Amino acid sequence: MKARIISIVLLLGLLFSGCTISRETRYLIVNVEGLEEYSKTLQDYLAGYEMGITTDTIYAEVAKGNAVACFDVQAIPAINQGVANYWYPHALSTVVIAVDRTQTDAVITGWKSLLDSKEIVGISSNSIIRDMLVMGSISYGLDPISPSKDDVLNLLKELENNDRFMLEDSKSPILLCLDHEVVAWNKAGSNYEIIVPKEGTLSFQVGLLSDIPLTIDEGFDDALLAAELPLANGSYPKQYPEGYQSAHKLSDEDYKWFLNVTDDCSRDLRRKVFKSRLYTTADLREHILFAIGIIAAILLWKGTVYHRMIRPNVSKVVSILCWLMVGWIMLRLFKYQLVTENELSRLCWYGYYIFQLALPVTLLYLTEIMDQAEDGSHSLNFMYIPFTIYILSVLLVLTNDWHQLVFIFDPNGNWAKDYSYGIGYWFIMIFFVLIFILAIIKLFCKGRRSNYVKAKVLLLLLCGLLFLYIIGYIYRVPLAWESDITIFICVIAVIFFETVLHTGLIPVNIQYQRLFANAPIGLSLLDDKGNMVLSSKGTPPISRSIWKRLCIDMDKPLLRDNDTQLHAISIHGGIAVWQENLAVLNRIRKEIKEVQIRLETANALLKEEEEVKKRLLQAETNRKLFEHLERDMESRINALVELVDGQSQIKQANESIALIILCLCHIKRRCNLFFLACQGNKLLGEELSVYLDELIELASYDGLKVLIRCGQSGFIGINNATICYDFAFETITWALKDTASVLMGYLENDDGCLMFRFLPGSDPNKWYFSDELIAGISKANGNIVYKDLDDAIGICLVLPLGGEIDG
Amino acid sequence: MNLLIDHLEDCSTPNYFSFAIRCEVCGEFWYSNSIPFSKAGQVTDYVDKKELYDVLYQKEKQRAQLAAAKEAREHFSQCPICRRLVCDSCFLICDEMDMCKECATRMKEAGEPVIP
Amino acid sequence: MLKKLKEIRALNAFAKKQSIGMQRKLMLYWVSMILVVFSTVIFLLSIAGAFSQDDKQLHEVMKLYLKNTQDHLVDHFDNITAKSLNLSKELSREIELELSKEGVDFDEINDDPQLLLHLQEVMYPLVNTTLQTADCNGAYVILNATINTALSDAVNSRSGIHLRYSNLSSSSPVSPTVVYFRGISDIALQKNLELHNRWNLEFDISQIPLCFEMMNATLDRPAENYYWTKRINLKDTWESSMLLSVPIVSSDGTVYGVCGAEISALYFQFSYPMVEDKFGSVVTVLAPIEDNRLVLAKGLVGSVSGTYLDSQESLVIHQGRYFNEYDTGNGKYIGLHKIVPISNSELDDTVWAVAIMVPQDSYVAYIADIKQNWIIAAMILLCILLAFSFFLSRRFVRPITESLKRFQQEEMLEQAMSSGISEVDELAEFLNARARNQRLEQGDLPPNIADLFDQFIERKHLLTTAERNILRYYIEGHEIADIPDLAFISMSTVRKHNRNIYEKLGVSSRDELMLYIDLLRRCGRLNELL
Repeated sequence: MKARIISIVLLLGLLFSGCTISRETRYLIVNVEGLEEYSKTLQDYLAGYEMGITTDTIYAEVAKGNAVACFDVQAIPAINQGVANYWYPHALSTVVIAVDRTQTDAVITGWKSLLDSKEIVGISSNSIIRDMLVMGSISYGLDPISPSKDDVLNLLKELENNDRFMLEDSKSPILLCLDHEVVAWNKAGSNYEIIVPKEGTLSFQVGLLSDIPLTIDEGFDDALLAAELPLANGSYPKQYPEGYQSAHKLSDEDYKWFLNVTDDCSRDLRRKVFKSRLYTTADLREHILFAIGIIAAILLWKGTVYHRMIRPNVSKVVSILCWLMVGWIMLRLFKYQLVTENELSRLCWYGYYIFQLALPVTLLYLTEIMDQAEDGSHSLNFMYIPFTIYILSVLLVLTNDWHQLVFIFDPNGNWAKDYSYGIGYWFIMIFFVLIFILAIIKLFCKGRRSNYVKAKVLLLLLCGLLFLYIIGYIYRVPLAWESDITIFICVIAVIFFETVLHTGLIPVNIQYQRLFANAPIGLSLLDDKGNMVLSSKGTPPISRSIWKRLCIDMDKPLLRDNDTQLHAISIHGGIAVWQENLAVLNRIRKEIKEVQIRLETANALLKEEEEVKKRLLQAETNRKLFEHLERDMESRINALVELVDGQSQIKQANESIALIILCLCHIKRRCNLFFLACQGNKLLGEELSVYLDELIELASYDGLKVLIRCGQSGFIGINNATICYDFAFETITWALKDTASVLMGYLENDDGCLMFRFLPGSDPNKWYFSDELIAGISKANGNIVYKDLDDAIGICLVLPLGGEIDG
Repeated sequence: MNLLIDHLEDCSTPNYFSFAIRCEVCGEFWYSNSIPFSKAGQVTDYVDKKELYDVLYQKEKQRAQLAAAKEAREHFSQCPICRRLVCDSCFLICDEMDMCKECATRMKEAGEPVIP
Repeated sequence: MLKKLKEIRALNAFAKKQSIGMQRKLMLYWVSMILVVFSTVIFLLSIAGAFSQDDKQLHEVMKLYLKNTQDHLVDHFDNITAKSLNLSKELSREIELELSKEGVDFDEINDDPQLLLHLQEVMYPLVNTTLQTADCNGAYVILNATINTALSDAVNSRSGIHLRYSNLSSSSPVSPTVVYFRGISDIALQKNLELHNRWNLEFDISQIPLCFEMMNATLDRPAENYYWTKRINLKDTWESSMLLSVPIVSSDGTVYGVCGAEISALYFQFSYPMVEDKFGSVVTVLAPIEDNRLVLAKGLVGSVSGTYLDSQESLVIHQGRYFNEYDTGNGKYIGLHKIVPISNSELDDTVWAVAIMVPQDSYVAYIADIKQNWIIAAMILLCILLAFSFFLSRRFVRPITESLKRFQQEEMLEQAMSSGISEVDELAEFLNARARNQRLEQGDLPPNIADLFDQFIERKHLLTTAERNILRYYIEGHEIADIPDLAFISMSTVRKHNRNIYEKLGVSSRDELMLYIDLLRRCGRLNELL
C-alpha cells in the first residue's frame, strides 16, 4: 500500500517538476510576443532543438543549455556581462506605428503626431521587453542625440491624460508595434497602414542567444524572407512597401542609454504615466522586498506582544492574527510570482479571502474574550455564528467558478480585469463589515470602563483613521484610493489589537514574570489542573495530594510540613498558594512547652517537701503527746502510789484492792479518752454510760452501791465527757473513802447545759476534787454546785454545752 | 495497614473527612482525598436526629480512614532499618535492600528514589 | 446470452466464496453508496435542467437583440429613405425650374459645363442639407448627363455631387468634417470644402448597380421605386458603402438622375457596435439573402472585433430550433435573422435581412467552460468522496488488522492495549484466555522449553534482594495489591520493582511471568528460582 502511495507521489512530483525528462533534447525558447514567426521558421533550420515555452527568465534558460530567441537589447548586455556566450542575429524588427484603417482615417506621421490625432494609442504586447522596445524607440525618435526617459514618459503621460493610451491592447486603432507583426496582420486580412515615424525610430536585431555554439542550416535567410521577416543585413521581403528600410540600429554605446531609458519601465509606466495605484508595489523586486519588510514587521510586533502580555488565550489570538496576515501576504507574493494569469493565480486570488475574511472574525473573538476569565467557560457560543459565516463565505468564494455568485466573469474577457461583483460578494462584504463594526462597538463598550486615557485616545485614533480612510476612498484621495488595501487592513488589525491591549482589560506587564519569580513572597500560582504556572523563588513545588486537598477546602490552612503552612485562594483559572513559615512559631511553642515542664517538676518537688514537713510535724506532735501522756500517766501513777500508800495504812486490803482497780480502770479509760481527745473524736453518751457502769461495777466490789442514770444520748464533746468521767470517778472515790453505801447519780442534758447530779449518802462537803478537775471545769466554763436537799446534800456539775458539744 | 492507620492524622472538619500522613524523613505531609460527609451542612434541631448524625459521622469517618489508609499505601513505605514511615520520594531502592534516605546516607548506600 | 449469464453467476458465486478483506468490502460498500448518491445528484440536476438551459436562454437573448436591432435599423433606414425621397422631390422641382428658366431641354445639358455647374450649384444646398439631417455618412445626386460625351468612358460617366463625412471614428463620432467626393471642384472652392483625396469630377455609374437601368427606365411612381444597392467599393478608396438610390423624376416622367444617401461600412460599424454578451460577441449584419445564403460581401456588417468575420463571406443558413446556424465554410456562427423591407423597387428584388450572430466557437467555449466546470467539480467531489471512503474504511479496519497482527505475533493483549472496538477486544480476550488455557491444559511443552527455563532461572541472579522478595510473593501466589501490606512498602515501590523484575527476567507482562512460574512449578523446578 505504502509503495503504491509513494509511487503515486513520485509520479505526481515528476509530472509537476518534469525532472524525469532527460535533458538530451534542447529547447528553443520563445518568451516574447512577435517572435513566433521567427522561431517557427528557425525550427526547421536548427537541428536538435525542440520548441519550448517556459516561464523562467531567458538567462536561466540559456544557462540550462537552451537557445533563446530574443532581441539584441537582451542579448548584447548579457554577452557583455558574460551571462551568455553566443549571439546569432538573423532578423530585424523595427518599431513602427500601425494605423487600423478600418477604424480610423486619422493622419499619423510620427511620434508627435500621435498627440494631434484623437484616436486611442495602444501597445499590443503584454511582455515588458516589448514595452521597453517601444519606449527606447520613442526616446530615440524624440531626441536622437541624447535620448532621455523623461521625454518618453512626458509624451505617454500626455496621451494618458486624454485617456488615449493603453497597454496590452491590440484593438486600438493606432498600435505601437513591430513592422513584421503588422505585415503578418495585414496578410491575415486586417487593414493596417505601417507608418515609420518621421522623427526616427529604432530597429532591433532578432536572433538566438545561447551558451553553446549553434549551427544553422543553409537557406535560413531565404526562409526568413519567405516568412516576410526582414533580414538583419537590411534586405526586405517584397511584401513591404517600396522604399521601406530599416531605421537606426543600436550600436554598442547605444545599449547603455537604452538600458538607462528602459530600466524599470513597467514601474515608470504605472507610477508616472498611468498614475494608478501610486502607493503600491509596482514590480517583482518591490513586491518581494515590501512583503519581506511587512512580514518582518508583523513578526516583530508579534514578538513584542508576546513579551508584553502573558494571557495564553490572547497570545493565541495574536499568533492567529499574525499568521493570517503573514499568510495573506505570502499568498499574494506567490501570486505575483506567477507569470501567466491561469487558474492557479485565480485560485490564489480567491485564497486571499481565506485570510481577509478571517481577520474581522478574529478581532471579534478578541473583543469577546478580552475582559473574561481564562477558564473559557462563559458563553462564547455566539462566536459560532460568525465562524460559520466565515466558513460558508470562504467556500462560496472558493467555489465561485461553478456558479459565479461572487465574481461574475466575462467568458471572452480577461478575468483579471473584466469581472463584476455578484450578489454573493456583497453579502459577504456586508457580513464582514458588520462583524468588524460589531467588534469596534464591543471595544467601545468595554473600553469605556477603562481608566487609561491612552486607551480612549487609541480608540478614537483607530476610528478616526478608519473614517479618514473611508472619506479618502470616497473622494478618491490618492493616499487612500491608490494605496494597498491589504496593508491597510493589516495596519487596522494591528492598531485594533494595540487598542485592545491598551484598554487595560488585558493585563500587560513586561516584567511580570521576572518580578514574580524574584519576589520573596513564597507565592505560587497553579492552573486548574494543578500545574505550576508561576512560582516565586524558593517555593517548593506543591504536591498533587496537597493541591487536591486545597481545592476541596480553601479556607482551612494546610501544613506542608511541620514548619510550613499553606494558604490558598481561588483565582481565575486556578488557585494562588502562599506559604507561611511556622518555624519561629514552632520554636517558641517548643520553648514554652519546655518551661512548663520545668515548672511542673519544680512544683512536684515543692509538694513533696511540704509532705515531708507535714510528716515531721506529725511526728513531733506525737512525740509531744506521748511526753504529755507519759507525764500525765506518771502523775496519775504517782497519785495512785500515794493513794495506795495511804490506803494501805488505813483500810483493809480488799477495799484497797477495789480502789486500786478503780484507779487503774480510771487510768486506763482516761488514756483512752486522752487519745480520743487527741484525735478530736466525740464520744457517744451510751459509751460514756458504759464507762460509768464499769466504774460502778468496780465500786460495787467495795460495797458501794452506785446508781447512775445516764440521760444523755448522742455525742458528747470529749472534754465534757472527760470532765464528767473524772467527776464521776472522783465522786465515787470519795464515796468509797467515806465508806458510804449508796450513791445515786443522774446525768442529763438540761437547757443547753450538761448537768451531772450526785446524791451521795454522806456529806460531800468534806470532799474536795482534784485541782486538775477543777481547772478542767473552769476551763469549760462549768462549775460544781452543792445543793442542800432536805435530808442530804447534792452535788451538781454544770457544764455549758454551747459549741462544745457541736465543736 | 494498621501501621498506616496508626500514623494517620485526622484533619477532618464537620463537612469532610481528610487524613494526613507525615513523612518522617522530609517532614512533608501527604493528604488523603477529602471525602465529604454525607450530611454535611444539614443542621437539625432535633436531638435524636443530631445523635443519629453523630453516629453517622463516626461511621463515615472510620470508612474514610480506611480509604485514606488504602490510598496512603500507594505512597508510603516503611524503612526496614529505622522502621519509620517514609514517602516515596524519600524511599530509595538500593541494590541490596530498600531503605530511607537518611539510613542510606548513614550506611553510605547508593540508591534511586521511587519517585524522583 | 443465457450462457453468459450463467458464467456471471458462477463468477459471482466464486467471488462470494472468496474471503474478501474487510477494508475492501467496506470500501466497496462506500464506493457504491457514493456512486448511487452521486448519480442521483447528477440525475436530479439534469432533470432540473441545469445542463440544457443555455440554448433556450440564448434564444431568448437573441430574440431580444434581434428585435432591438431590427427596430433600430428599420427606423434608421426609414429615416434615410424619407430624407432621400424628400431630396428627390426637391431636386426634381429645382431642376425642372432651372431648365425652364434656361429654356433648355434636359437632353441638352450633356457637354455643357456651364449649365452643369449651374445645376450643381442649385443642387448642392439640397444635398448638403440631406447629409446634415439624415443619419448617414454621405449624400449624392447623379444627373443623367456627362460633361464630355466624347470621352471613351463617357457611357459610364455621369455628372453629380457626392458629399461625405470624413474622419469618422468610434471615439469621436460627433465632429466629422464634410469632404467633397464627386462633383465640379468649383463648388468645393466656393463652399470652402476640402476635396477628398480620391476626388473625381464625375461618377462611374458602372460601379453602382441598377443605376443605369434606373435612369433609363420609365417609371410611373418614382416615389415607390427607391432601393438600396448592395455594398460597393467606392472607386479608388479603401472604403465600401451601400447607397440608397431614389430616381429624380420630372413631372413628365423623365428620369433626371438618381439621388440618395450613403452608408459606409465603417459608418455602419460605428452605428452598430458589437455587443459583448456572456455567450460571445454579438454582431449585427444587414445583408441580402440569396439561395438561402447571407451574402456579407453585398451587405453591411456591424463592429466585428472579437469575431472572425471579415465582411466578405457568404453564410449558408441552417435553420435550428432555437437559433440558426450560419456557416461561412471555415467558421460557424449562430444567431437569428429577419427579413426587412428596406428597398421598394420594381428593378431590384433583393431580399434584405437583418441578422445578429455570435461566433459558435465562443458559444461552444462558453458551454464547454460551464460543462467543464461541472465535470471538474463533479470529479473533485467524486475524488474527495472516494478518498474519504478510503480513509473511513481504512480507519475502521485498522484497529482490527492491528489486533490481528498482534495476534499473529503471539503478543498477549493486555487490557491497556485496547483496539477501540469492543467486539474485537472481547474476541482478543477470549482467544487469549483460550490460548493460555490450551497451553496450560495440554501440558506438552515446546522442545526448547528447557533452555528457556534455564535462561529464565539464570537471569534471576540479576535480581536484587528486594526484587527477589517480591518475586517470592508472586511465587507464593499473592496478587500485586497484597504486596504493600506484606512488605511494608508503597505501591509505587512495588511497581518500580515490578518493572525492574520484568526487565531483568525478560518478560513483558505479569501474565507471562506467572506463566513461567506456573510452568516451572509443573516441572518441579520452582525451588531453583527461589
